[in-house]
Amino acid sequence: MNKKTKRKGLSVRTVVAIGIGTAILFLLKRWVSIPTFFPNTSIDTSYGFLGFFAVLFGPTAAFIIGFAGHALNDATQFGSPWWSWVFTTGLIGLAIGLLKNYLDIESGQFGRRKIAIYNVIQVVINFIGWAIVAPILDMIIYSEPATKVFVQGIIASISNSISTGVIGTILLVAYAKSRTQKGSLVHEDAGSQRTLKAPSQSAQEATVDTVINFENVSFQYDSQAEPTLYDINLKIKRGEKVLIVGPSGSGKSTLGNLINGLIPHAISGTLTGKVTVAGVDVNHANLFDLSLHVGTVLQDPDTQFVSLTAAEDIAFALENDAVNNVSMKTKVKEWAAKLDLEQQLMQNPQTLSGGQKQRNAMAGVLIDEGEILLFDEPLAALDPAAGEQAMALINELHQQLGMTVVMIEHRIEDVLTQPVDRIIVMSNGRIVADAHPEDILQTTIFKEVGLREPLYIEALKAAQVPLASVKDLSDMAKINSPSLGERLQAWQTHTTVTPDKSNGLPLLTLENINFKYTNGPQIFKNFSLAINQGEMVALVGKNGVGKTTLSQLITGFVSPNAGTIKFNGIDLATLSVKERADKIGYVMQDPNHMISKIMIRDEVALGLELRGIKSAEITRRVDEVLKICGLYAFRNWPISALSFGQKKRVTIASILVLKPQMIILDEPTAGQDWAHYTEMMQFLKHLNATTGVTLIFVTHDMHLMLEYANRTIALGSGGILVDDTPAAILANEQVVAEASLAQTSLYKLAQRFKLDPVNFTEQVIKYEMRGQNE
Amino acid sequence: MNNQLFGYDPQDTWLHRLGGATKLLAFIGLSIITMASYDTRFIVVVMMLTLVVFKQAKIKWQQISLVVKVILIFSLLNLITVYIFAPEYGVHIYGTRHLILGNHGYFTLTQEQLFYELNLALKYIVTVPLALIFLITTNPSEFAASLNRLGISYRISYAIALALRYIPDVQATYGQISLAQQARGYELSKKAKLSVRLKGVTQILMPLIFSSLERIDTISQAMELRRFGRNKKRTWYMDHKLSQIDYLALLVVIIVILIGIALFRFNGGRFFNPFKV
Repeated sequence: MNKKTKRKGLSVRTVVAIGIGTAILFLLKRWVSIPTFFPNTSIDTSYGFLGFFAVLFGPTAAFIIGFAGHALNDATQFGSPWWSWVFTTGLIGLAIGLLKNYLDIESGQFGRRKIAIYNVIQVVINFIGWAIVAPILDMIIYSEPATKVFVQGIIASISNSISTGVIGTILLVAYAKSRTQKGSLVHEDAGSQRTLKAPSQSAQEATVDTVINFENVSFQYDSQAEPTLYDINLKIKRGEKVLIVGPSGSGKSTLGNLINGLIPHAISGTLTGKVTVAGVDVNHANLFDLSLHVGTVLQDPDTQFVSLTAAEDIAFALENDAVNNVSMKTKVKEWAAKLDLEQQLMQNPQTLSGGQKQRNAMAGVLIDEGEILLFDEPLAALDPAAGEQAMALINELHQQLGMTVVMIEHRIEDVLTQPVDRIIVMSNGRIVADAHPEDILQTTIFKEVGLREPLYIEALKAAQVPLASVKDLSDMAKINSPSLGERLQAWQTHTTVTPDKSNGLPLLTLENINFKYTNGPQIFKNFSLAINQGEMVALVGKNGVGKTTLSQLITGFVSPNAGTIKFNGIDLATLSVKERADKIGYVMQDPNHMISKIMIRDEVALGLELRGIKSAEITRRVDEVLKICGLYAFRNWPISALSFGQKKRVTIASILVLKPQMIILDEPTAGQDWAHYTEMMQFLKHLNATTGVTLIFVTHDMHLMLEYANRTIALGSGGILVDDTPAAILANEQVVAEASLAQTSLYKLAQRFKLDPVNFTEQVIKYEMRGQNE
Repeated sequence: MNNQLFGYDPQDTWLHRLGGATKLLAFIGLSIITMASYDTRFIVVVMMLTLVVFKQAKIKWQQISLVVKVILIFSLLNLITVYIFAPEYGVHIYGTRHLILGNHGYFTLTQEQLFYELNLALKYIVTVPLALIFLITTNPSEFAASLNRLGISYRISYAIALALRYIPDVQATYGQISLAQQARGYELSKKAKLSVRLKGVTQILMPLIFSSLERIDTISQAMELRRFGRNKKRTWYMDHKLSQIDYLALLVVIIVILIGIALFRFNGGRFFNPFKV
């Protein structure tokens, strides 16, 4: 935490910790307690959590979390808080919180001795709290007899001490481990320093028109062993629309955080050089003043959306500026109208679509009327159609309001559906190219740094169209050159596509499935589907149409109301979740939700250990899988030191080790740049070819579907919309609209030059895949 | 706007129009006085009063049926344990002994004990209608604003709003994690031994809590980027200005509290004793 953000009162981080902590405590109290052999008592896991948060965030936070979480739980369960226990929980949090400085948890520098002492103290605190304070309060408030309350209190003190002792200690040890080892490790790709051609800097003098200016900027995070940015020089003019691209780890997000001031004000590190934004020196300004100039739309809409309703979230900045209620409401109304959110104003975030959440986030920063709008991966959380709409909206706002727009993305093709003025390419912490899209597209720089070129460029290269002769290269709607159409046509006719349908036997069959969540709408009605052995299937469709539900029906996380699901002829209803997992693996979208161990090896071995397999066998299988997944070199690393993509591979490894016959992957490529994406998908494809494992991808990624699936199932509100080859589905405009997909640039190109879009797409993809395999 | 968990039901009764701060104050004030007083007559009158108000909030039975069942079972269990541990506690409090059943053994039944346990039962349930009125008629968005209005710092008030905002998200994450861990082979059902379940639960808590730590960092950054914590004061979109009806309601609550306090003097203590001749 930087000194500058520490003000009187609680820090913002503590405020958020109290909020999230209260939510977690409430949840654990409500659903996660383990009954013991004593009647009416249970080991309440919330106390273990409270003990951990207390030493992490201090006594004040822990008191409020304990008090508010417990009161909320009682109020929703019994109608009214049981005051004596509510107070006791708060006081126990407070008391354990006083150990914060003793343990010095931030540094992670505490050993077994300190933890042992912590445990003794927490037992004493729990005893005093439950066996003395709570009974006395019970006697005062409810006039209950002493014998009853003290016996009850002693039982509670025992079970809650166990909870804090066991769970709290495990959490503490894990936290310490992840802290101490984080800084000492370097990411795998940080070391390799490729030399690329010098940036084609459009050398301009700093003028009044420059709104963002980087002069010789380098930055190193405190937690990293090497700098993330090296000697950055960059000027962005007022009113420009700039796209910053780069593979993950290239420093593009760091660059964004320097523009909005999160670095150095909220994230600490060593900054050299000078960053000026809207005439303000970022290093000396404060975060709040900067935020008036730069509006930031973060990648994850659920962290940006901090209020209970859409209207409040739009008003959030104004509330913090203490704007009066009347003008606040007028302004919210005005921006809601501009961004087409008027109908959603009173809705909560859980009921908004991804696109609506993003528009809401935009309204929430546009309301400041700053001059710079910064987007961190605006496409990451959206389905293809919503992504296309978002790009159009950003373009419209840019033109109407004349703001400077900076977008950080790695999906170049999708961003280029709208014009941008400049593309800045980053790699290994340096700017390796900075030029107009037309000029950049002429080069091979994207591929060199590990990014995907737009598919239509790929097509032109395949047809050996000299790019230098092409006009409007960055605009698919206008792109042209002498005889471009003929060349493409000629190329298309001399290559033929051989259909590669797998003719395996049905492995998984769903018959007449009906499903509906309690209090929810009917999701599946008489739904039938067969997946064959060895297929690679893409499951696509609008958010909320039931893609995840379908995966969960197959894995047994939810059960159908009617119908049967068979796997290899076995009725899955007869198997438990655990037994199904031996046959069908499920890789969740967010690897952080799956990982429960500290070290990579332990994480991968976990499933085998729980299945009681001998340790020699475990070692052999784990080593084998780690090698397949390219993780063997990191086998003894803590998982916290890995990048998002590497974590994802760990989760795939931990599923693969169980040798399932089918794997369902939820958005396997989300958040991964092209190099990592290709690596991962080639790996899965190889796995499919060699072991015959059947793969189902739940995805929004049209490239993934085109390149790796041999069959696509598009779900609609009435069940399966179409079940066909990927290219054929993208050529069907009605399906594209209904499933909220987006046409690729190839389709648009094919249409303009009157080529058969299905055939053309398949050919370009084949060409591209050949390039990858070589 | 409907926050399922809190049970808020947007309607248009005078109770819904009442400010959240007013309702919170009324709830806390009446809770304290009914907790403090052991005057059966007073508690019964307050309860009748809250039931009349409760009827006006137009709350449907199905909204509260579960809560009412839980509180009844909970109260009954407590009353039984109190009797088991101290069957003569009423005699101890009221100083007389009117025997109904039993004579020599540990378990006797006296009028005093019955009367004491009746009082206890009343105490368990007297605040329930009040709490339900508060939960069902108060917009959760306004709740934080009203805490702030009552003088609690806006940071803490907003922390509570954040808790309400993120409870559904945390719950969804928890559900996902729990299923994923079960798929990997953790047994969490009642079939497993206590130690096995404790271990399994810890394995679910790890990803939940560690991903929450990351979340705390990004959310606080998102809030700072929109200037949360900049000023000493903050305004609220959902703020509710106190009107005449609020002041009137508060006046009634104050009168009730004053009567309660007056009864302490009249009874010479917390207890109303009908056995004293």
